[in-house]
Amino acid sequence: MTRPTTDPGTEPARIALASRGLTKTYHSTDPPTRVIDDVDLSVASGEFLVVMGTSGSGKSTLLYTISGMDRPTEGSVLLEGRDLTSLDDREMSRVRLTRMGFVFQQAHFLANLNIGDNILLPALQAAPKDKKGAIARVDALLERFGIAHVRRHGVTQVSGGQLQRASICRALVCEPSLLFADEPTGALNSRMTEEVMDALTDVHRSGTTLVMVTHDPGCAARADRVVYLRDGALVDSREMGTWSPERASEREDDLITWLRGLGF
Amino acid sequence: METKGSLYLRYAYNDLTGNKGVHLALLVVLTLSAFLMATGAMVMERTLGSVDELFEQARPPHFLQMHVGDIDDDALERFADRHPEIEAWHVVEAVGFDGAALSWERSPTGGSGDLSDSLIDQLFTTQNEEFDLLLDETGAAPRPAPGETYLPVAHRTAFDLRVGDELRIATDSGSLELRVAGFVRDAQMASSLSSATRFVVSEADFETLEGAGGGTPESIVEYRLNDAGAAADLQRAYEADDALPKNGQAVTYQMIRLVNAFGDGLVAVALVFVGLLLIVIALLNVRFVIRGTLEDEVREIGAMKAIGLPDRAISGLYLTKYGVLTALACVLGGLAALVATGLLTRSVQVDYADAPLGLASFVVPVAALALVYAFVLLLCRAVLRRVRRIEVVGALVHGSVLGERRAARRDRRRARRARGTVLASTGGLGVNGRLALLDLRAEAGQWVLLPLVFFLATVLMTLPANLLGTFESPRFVTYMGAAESDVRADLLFSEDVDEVRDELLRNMREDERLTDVRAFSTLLYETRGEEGWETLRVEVGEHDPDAIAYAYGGSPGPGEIALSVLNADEYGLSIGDGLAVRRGGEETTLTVSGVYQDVTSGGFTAKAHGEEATGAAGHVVYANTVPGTDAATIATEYDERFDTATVIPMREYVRQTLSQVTGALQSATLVSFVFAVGVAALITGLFLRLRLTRERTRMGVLSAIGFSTGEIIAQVRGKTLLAVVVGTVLGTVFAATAGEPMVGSLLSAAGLGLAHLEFLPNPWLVYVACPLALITTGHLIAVALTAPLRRVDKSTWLRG
Repeated sequence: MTRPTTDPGTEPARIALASRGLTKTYHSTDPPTRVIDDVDLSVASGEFLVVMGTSGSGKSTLLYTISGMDRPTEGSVLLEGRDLTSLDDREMSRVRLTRMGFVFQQAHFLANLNIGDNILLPALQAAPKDKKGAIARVDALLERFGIAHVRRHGVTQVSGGQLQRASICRALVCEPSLLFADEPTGALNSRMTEEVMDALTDVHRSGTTLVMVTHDPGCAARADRVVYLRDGALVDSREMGTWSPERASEREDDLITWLRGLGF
Repeated sequence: METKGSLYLRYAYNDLTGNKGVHLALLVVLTLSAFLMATGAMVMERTLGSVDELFEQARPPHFLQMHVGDIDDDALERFADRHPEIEAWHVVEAVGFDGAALSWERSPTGGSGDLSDSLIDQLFTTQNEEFDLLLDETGAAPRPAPGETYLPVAHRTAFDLRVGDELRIATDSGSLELRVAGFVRDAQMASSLSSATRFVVSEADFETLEGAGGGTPESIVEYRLNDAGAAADLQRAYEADDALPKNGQAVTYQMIRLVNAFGDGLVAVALVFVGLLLIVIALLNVRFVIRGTLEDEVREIGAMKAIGLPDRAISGLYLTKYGVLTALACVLGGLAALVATGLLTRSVQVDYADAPLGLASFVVPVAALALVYAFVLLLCRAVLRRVRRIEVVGALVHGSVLGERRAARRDRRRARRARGTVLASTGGLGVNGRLALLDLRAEAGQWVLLPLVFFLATVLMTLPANLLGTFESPRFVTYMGAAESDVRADLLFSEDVDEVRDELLRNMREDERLTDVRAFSTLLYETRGEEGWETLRVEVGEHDPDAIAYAYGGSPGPGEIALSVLNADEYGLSIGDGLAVRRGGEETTLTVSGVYQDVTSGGFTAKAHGEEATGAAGHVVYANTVPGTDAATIATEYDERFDTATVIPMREYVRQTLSQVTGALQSATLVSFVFAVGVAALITGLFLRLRLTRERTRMGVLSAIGFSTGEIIAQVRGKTLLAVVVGTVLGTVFAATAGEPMVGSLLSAAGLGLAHLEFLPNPWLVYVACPLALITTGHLIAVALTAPLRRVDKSTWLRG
């Protein structure tokens, strides 16, 4: 089997994010480890893309490299046509602040701020003058994800599901066009996983482009498209069509069959 | 089979080598503490040993009285007969020359110079027979042949003189040339605080010098007692006897000893002080590192507990590690101290004697090191008690050193605090500033290390600098019982002293370059002491109310007297009390108007209102110079014009009198400056290294949500700077306020005549340079340690 290095997905109308020849090598090991290997990937505006692969396949590294958290060793990342690798640290963090949102496996909230302040933090950083607007957005998000009552709670006083929904609120408070999620349900039980995935699906439906790394086929089944990574290279891709709760289990079965074929 | 001890040691070794940076920094701090403690202890032991050894060999007098003029030998005989405690006595005859009258020449190199820089009396004398011996390097009392002389050892280094040099003494009847045959150590006059130094010549040359003119003949009546403790009583008895010669200074054994130990003893005290502060810093540091290590290794500890290792065994693993580290530090510090002590006591050995190594030479430094070891290990043991509190589940599942209940309590506390902190509330700090402050508050228990260390480092740095500034300040003369002035003229005793004084005063008052010419005479009054009448030296003249700082009260007017602190203590007098005095058979009662501080003449002086009198024991004239004139030039001019007057700029007088003390303080200040900066840098580095590891996740989150690396770095630097500035400012304030009475009471306890020390620091050094040096150090370390963060992949902060 030849290894397609190009994303075989159909060419969407507008590309939100794209990588070209993306390579990441860690030189701290002997010999150096090539974790991402010449990846070309395009994410359409408004698309829900899931990256899957076995442990150590480079999924998270790919996510952090295309989001500008880490610098690639070679290649480029284009956000709506603008090369992110040419930006300096200040410009790149401005892009992350205003255009991107992040959700991690652990909520990673600052322990000395309450839930509301944790969500407010990026908004204030983006527009320090517009406190009123920022607070209004925080309130609206808390309402939307059903956690308004924990606004003044400490981060250790809420459930994992509530914390992860708060984490989504934080990611959305600057109204980004792109949301990255790294195993957002990895530390949750099945009920909380559903809660969080419903929230993310809701985010996607409202027009936000979503790139998510996951192990869980149930979660991946909600995507528009799933790409599969092996040893740092993209090996296959599957169009899933639009998700609906009625077809959930059928899509999951279909995905599992495809994944088995890839040795997952 | 493996023994438990060797397992512990192997664990300690692996752990120490595995975490090199942190352990190296810890080792350096511990080594410095051990080094300073051991050096301080050894310098003290060696200095006292050297002084003791010299005293042992040279047998200085227990009481001596200087005198210029005729001596009634019969009266001295009678006095000695009445006092059986006198073991031996003699009258030393000496001829004093001004430093300017002495010059030297070296053949064949042709090097030459003179001793005019030395302001003290250069006394020529012969070797004594029984006691007060002047000793050469071997400890023998040399007797120079005619044409030879032995010089004071201090001159060898001060003027670079060598054996074989030709010393020329300018007398009224031509010059006398003597070959330098060697150098002698003088138990009585080794210190810079003494007003004279002695040269040994042969009987024949002494007679030549005595008869040649140009020098001042002087007699020193010296007593050696069966019991050194009886010196004060003998002095009182001596001074009460009118027939005995006593128009010069009187000195007791205790004063000689104190003066000798003062300079180098001060360095030793400073070293021990620095060492103690460093130990406190090292302990804080060890505590911080151990607590951090327990947090980092909580899962391992949990696992050890889970497999059934007792708490004692787990603490034992850590205790062995810190024990090894501290022992290593003590060995390294001790070895370095051996070298440092050799260097620091070299001058003591030259000026005094090479002290033999005794039991104390080994016990003292070892005890100092043992103290360091014990302190550190006790602290480790106390901190390691936390191991007992760690719960297996909490450790393994949550990675928490806190048990379930404690963790819950902490969470509730945090939540309560977070409820109140609302980012949205107004404030001019900006998001970054506010986050940094919130973090400082939340992690205050950790961050407090930095202000504490900088507080201590500032105290360490500024106290010696404050003291040095005080001793170097021109205003220090006010501690010497004299008014602050530019020029000081001392009239030596001569037959025509009153005429010379009048002539000098007339000249000075007519001189347009001089203002505020004030003359004082030292009169010997008598006052009632414990055992009848005793001598009281009183400086008589017009005392300007603002000229010196009075500890209590003010300057004496007519019918009044002001006493030095030690005299006021001696007679148990305070302001308003009456003091009965008599002079020339006439008795009056003077009212005490004030008490002032004085370190001269052993601290026992007094001041009274009156005219410049004839028949005084001494005369001194102070004058100020008008702006634009040079005090040194004017002083030299007068000094040359008046043979029997020593006229010198005040600054020079203070500098030379205190040269040994200020020299010692300069070294102490330099040592403490270097150590304070070094330790501050080391600990800031160590702290930030550990702190940055702890803050990785926080930095990762901030980076992900859009804070630039520059902002994240600025937060760390800002927190560090704030902590450093707070510590430094508090330290400076402490040193300037509480430090003054602290040092003052220490000096007061030393009986130097200083009751209320007021720091006269060099403000630029103490309030600008020292704090700035520390703050800059802290900031530069923060910059150096945070700069590499820019190159790191930010995801590693989140992914561990």
